[in-house]
Amino acid sequence: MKIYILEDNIAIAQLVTLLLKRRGHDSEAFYNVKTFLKATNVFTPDLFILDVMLPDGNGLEIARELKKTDVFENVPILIMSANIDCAEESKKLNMVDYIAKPFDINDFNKRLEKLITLSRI
Amino acid sequence: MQSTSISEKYLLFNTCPFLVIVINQKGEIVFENDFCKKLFVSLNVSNIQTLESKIKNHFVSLRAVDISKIQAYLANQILDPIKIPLKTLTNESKRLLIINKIDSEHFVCFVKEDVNESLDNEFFVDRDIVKDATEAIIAYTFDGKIIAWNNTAQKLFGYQKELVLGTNIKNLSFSFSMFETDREIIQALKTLPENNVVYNKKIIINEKTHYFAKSAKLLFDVENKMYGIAKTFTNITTDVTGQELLKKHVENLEYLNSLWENISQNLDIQSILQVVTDVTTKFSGAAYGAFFYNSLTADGEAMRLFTLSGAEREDFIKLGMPRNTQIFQKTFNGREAFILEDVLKSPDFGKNYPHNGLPKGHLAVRSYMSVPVITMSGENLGSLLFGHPEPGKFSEGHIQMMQSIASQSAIALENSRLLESIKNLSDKKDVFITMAGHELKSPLTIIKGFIQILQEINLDEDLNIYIIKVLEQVDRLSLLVDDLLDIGRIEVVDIILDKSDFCLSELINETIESLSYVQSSHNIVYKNPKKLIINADRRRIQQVIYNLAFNAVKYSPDHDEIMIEANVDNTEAYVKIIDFGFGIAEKHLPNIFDRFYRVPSDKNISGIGIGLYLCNKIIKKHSGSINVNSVLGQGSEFIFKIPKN
Repeated sequence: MKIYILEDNIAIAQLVTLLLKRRGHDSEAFYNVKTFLKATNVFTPDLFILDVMLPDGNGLEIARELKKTDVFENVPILIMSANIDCAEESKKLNMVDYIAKPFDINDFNKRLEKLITLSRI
Repeated sequence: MQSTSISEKYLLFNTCPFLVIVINQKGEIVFENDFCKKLFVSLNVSNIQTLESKIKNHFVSLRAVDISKIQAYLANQILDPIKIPLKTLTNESKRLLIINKIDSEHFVCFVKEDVNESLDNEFFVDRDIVKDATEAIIAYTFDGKIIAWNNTAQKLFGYQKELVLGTNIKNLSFSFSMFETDREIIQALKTLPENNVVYNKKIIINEKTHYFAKSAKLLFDVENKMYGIAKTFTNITTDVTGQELLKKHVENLEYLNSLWENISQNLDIQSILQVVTDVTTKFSGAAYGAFFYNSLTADGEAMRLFTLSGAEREDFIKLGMPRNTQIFQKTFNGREAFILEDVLKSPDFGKNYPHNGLPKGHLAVRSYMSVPVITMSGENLGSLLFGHPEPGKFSEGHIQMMQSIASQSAIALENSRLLESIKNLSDKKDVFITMAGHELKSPLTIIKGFIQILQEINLDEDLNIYIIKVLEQVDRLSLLVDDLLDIGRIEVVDIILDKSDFCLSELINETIESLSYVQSSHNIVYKNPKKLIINADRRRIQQVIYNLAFNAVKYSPDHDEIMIEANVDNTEAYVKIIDFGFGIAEKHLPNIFDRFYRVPSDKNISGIGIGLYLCNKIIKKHSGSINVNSVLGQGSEFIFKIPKN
């Protein structure tokens, strides 16, 4: 299981990495859209965790674009944002869930497992 | 007494708008004209009265008259009139009682106002006692023969008495229609022959407009047959112009009223400027008016707004903005109002290169008035400009009125500016709150996440207690940040509801549980723990219950119980939160749902005054209602109702 994290706040990226590691998932963190997209061009991860407000882009927009491609259409995405307004937009997309910051790690784990289960069906 | 025939003989006196009495040699009154009758309505006409008794009973100012003098005059059959000065309060003889023999048996008595004019003997000889009246009096028969024409008529109509008496009035020309209303007058007087018909008449003399009250009366001969008409023209020009001035004044006051009404209802600068321009333009009698308003753009750059009245915007725009030319300098830099009687004759104007007069296409302006609009603090807000295509249209009176309007407008404009700057600040603050909220959430995410990881790996029970305390406070902080964010969001965007079916009882219990993390002083009792399924935004409703219950705890420190009631019927759900604390004074109740409002209190209770504001917003968004009942010193109950679905 390989998970790509896109989060410009390094401490949050570290937290998410740690949470995933504790659940036995391998992950890689990207701090801007540019390096993230570069990486997705060469590798298809099993799951994405995306922040929304990024210095060079918008995580929700990226999720929309990813969902349009054949390669990423069925890759689940977890959107993390402090902006609750993103929740509805996120849930409109296929295999995309949303979690509000600051989150409860139990809630985070639950949503993560749900998405992973979905991707395996 | 042959009173009928005598009365008829002297009927012409009825047209006199002053007192005329005819007496016989014994001093008994045989005729009183209409004026006299009106003056002494209480008079019992069947009793024979003497001039003496009349003087005694009615003429207060005549009581000083030496009666014996009159008696001697009547007895001695003297032809010359007797003139008796009447004493006034200041003892200055200003009036004369004049008695003159009118025929073999009778004497006419009247009061002459002006003693300075010499009395002329002819006065009564031709029976024209109306000769010197200030009213113009004329009379003519129905076939047009002039039978009376006094001196004032001579002055007013320009025809000499000697030349017109006995001639036909229809041959004379008048600057107004003299006979136009005769038919109606006769018709009206036929039914009420005792009455006068009075109406106003506009007469132009030497190009000046005069107003006359025209009074008409029919003349009857001995056989009581109508034979002519008598007309009195009283100059009431001063009255009429006075009335017109008054009417104008009232109209002006009405304009002013509408101005202040509009201004007080409207705090937007552009509308104030427009109303002020419209009203002042109309009010000053100007053909065009403009208000040039000095303002600052959001970036602090000088900007000039303007509003117009009486002229099309294009007429102004094609001229460009009035520049600080010699003629406008006084307007834009000046602190004093001024008038140019004639722009073209002003030394600052007219000869200027290149226009040598008004620029081509300029609005025709001869009269010009400019009034600065200055605030109480002395700041020049701009100027009101007025123009008229004819010269000499504005006066000092206009300036005074415009100045008073200008200073009132300045106050309204200052208020409006203040409001706008507050709105601006408020918008900025909302954006700031939203940004700050987001910035606060990142560190909270990190703190909460790592502490929870710490909690997971920790095996020390004591340490776990501390960790739980930290997590409680992180959650509390998160809620406060959410509140702050909501404030910003609610003002900028709308609340978005995320509705789902849930059990209200379950939600209340959850909320009570999470409250138990932050407070242990109160026992929160929920009375109806059965299943109550509703469709609403669970997170928002929890926020409302949490806020209301937490307030209940905060505002009842001396008690230890909070009650919650809830129920759902077919259409509606309600939740009631009851405390037994301080309560809220009635005068504060209307404000408690306002943003940042906190009931003034000497009790040191933390909060920023947004909880109830948010609750209200959220419940309203659910199309519900929130209410409070409170008694000072006994506690409060907050009830909200929302539709079940």
